Amino acid sequence: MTLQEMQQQRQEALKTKMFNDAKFSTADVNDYNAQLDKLTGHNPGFGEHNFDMHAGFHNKVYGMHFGRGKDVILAQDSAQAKLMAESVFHDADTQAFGIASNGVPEVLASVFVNKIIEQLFQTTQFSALTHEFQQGVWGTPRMYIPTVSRVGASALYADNDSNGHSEINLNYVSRGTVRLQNMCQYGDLQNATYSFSKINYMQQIKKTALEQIRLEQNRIGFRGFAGKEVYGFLNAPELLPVIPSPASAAEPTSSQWIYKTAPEIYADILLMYDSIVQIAGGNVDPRTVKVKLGVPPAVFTFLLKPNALFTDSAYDFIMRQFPNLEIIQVQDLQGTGSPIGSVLPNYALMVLSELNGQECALNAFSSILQSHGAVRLLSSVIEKLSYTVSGMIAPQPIGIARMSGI
Amino acid sequence: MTLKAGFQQSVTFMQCALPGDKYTQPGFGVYDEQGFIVDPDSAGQKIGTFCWGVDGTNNQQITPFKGANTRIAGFVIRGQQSVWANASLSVGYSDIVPATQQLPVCANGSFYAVCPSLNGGGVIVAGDIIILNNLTGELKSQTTGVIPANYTQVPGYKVINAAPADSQTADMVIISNEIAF
Repeated sequence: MTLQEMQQQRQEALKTKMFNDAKFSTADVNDYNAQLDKLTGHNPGFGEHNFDMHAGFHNKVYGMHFGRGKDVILAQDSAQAKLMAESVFHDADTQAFGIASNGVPEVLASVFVNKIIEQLFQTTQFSALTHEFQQGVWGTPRMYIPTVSRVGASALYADNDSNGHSEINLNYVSRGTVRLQNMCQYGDLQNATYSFSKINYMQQIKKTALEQIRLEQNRIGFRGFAGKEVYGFLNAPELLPVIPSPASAAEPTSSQWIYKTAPEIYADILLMYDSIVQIAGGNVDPRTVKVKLGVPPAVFTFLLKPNALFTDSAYDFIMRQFPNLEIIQVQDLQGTGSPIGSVLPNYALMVLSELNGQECALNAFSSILQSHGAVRLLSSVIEKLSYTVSGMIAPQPIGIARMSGI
Repeated sequence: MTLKAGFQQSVTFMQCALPGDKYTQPGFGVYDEQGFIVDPDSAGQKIGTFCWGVDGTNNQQITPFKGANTRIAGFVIRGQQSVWANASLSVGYSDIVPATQQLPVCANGSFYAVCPSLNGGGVIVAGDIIILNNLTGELKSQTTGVIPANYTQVPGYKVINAAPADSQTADMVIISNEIAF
């Protein structure tokens, strides 16, 4: 049997089936004939068929005619016309539409809020504690910072004497840079899919990269980058030794603020400030020098402990004594354990803005952000971002005090 | 105070000098200063000590260790008269002028120098003689005239001030072959 013969045989079988499936009784046919005979023309819209249909007879010629076409399909008689019509209308028995209601779909009653709630991250206070110090360019591998020291001595006067001398000595303090990179990649289908939820996918991906870079630069500002001569507030070699907080009276084995009274907390702040003033040669005046005090969020609330008379908190008292002091919460100074700081210690960090016009702490970088350009691939875009930073450099370590164990 | 950090860690008074600085300005500030080249085969010449003239090189080169040399060329002063081409820029402050570089050397004068004493108790006294370690180039001072092994007495030089005012450097003294007090 050829393929053509098989197709012909199948068409015949389908035709037979269509007629058999109708299964109308003679009464049905007669009844329908009576109805059909009355049709003279337009019978619009049946079921899901989106077209007009004419079925009926004209001068005893039965047939069908679809609204959008000009051809008339002729039937031998009214019975065949009925079958033809029903083959279009499907089954005459299901035309009655009486499915029980299941109500309004919940999805139509719900609202998809267009305010996007984004993940919250720790604050990055490194830049708040330092002065920005951009040197070199993106490819800069190292910074050399010249320092001048002076020596000299006077001598007793004598007419023909040229005694006495003044010299300078120049030294270059060296710090490394660390260059890091990050990637953004966004696919066409990802973009299309996320757009259904009204999210600007590309913008969100870039924001993620920038947040990550911001957090990493902040981390380097406190902890440096091992092996690259890049240091932070917690490990810079130029900084003076960390002052251990004195033990509390209530808990002699601990110096943590959770056990300390308001006067004891104030004494800790005073101790840090004193450690700066003692070595600053008279260059520090609390009325004029701006000071920032960073404390971990875990102990910040203890600054609000009142004194014994409930007239002042430690915070109130500190702010009165140091009108140019700003207290900020620094997550990077927070230790671990329970209470927090009992295993790895909490740190307090006091940073003077400047000493005699020279900044105390620098946020040193060569390139805070470098985009290497977006590359269009087959069905995605890829973009590299990089940055070159030197962490924290303290050209005036005198103006920085650290305390552990608070 | 650690110097590794490189930046100033406390406000101090002005130091009188560093080793190698000149003390007096004799003759209207004219020293018998000569320029020499640091022996290319040496490891570099430290400032603030005496150096040896390299024999047989037309008096052009000096070297920090005695070796086969016979004459002390003079005292290496702290004069920034050459670029330290290969100096390590990282912190450390070796005070060593690299080989092949030029430096100023004075045969006579009064200078600041670090000369730890070999006296009992390590106390430096004005009038002590200056001795130079032949192997390391290190300067020492002592009162008695018996020179230890591997040391050479620097002719004519003595300690004239055992504790200069405003000195923050341990064992820093003023030495001279011109003045006695």
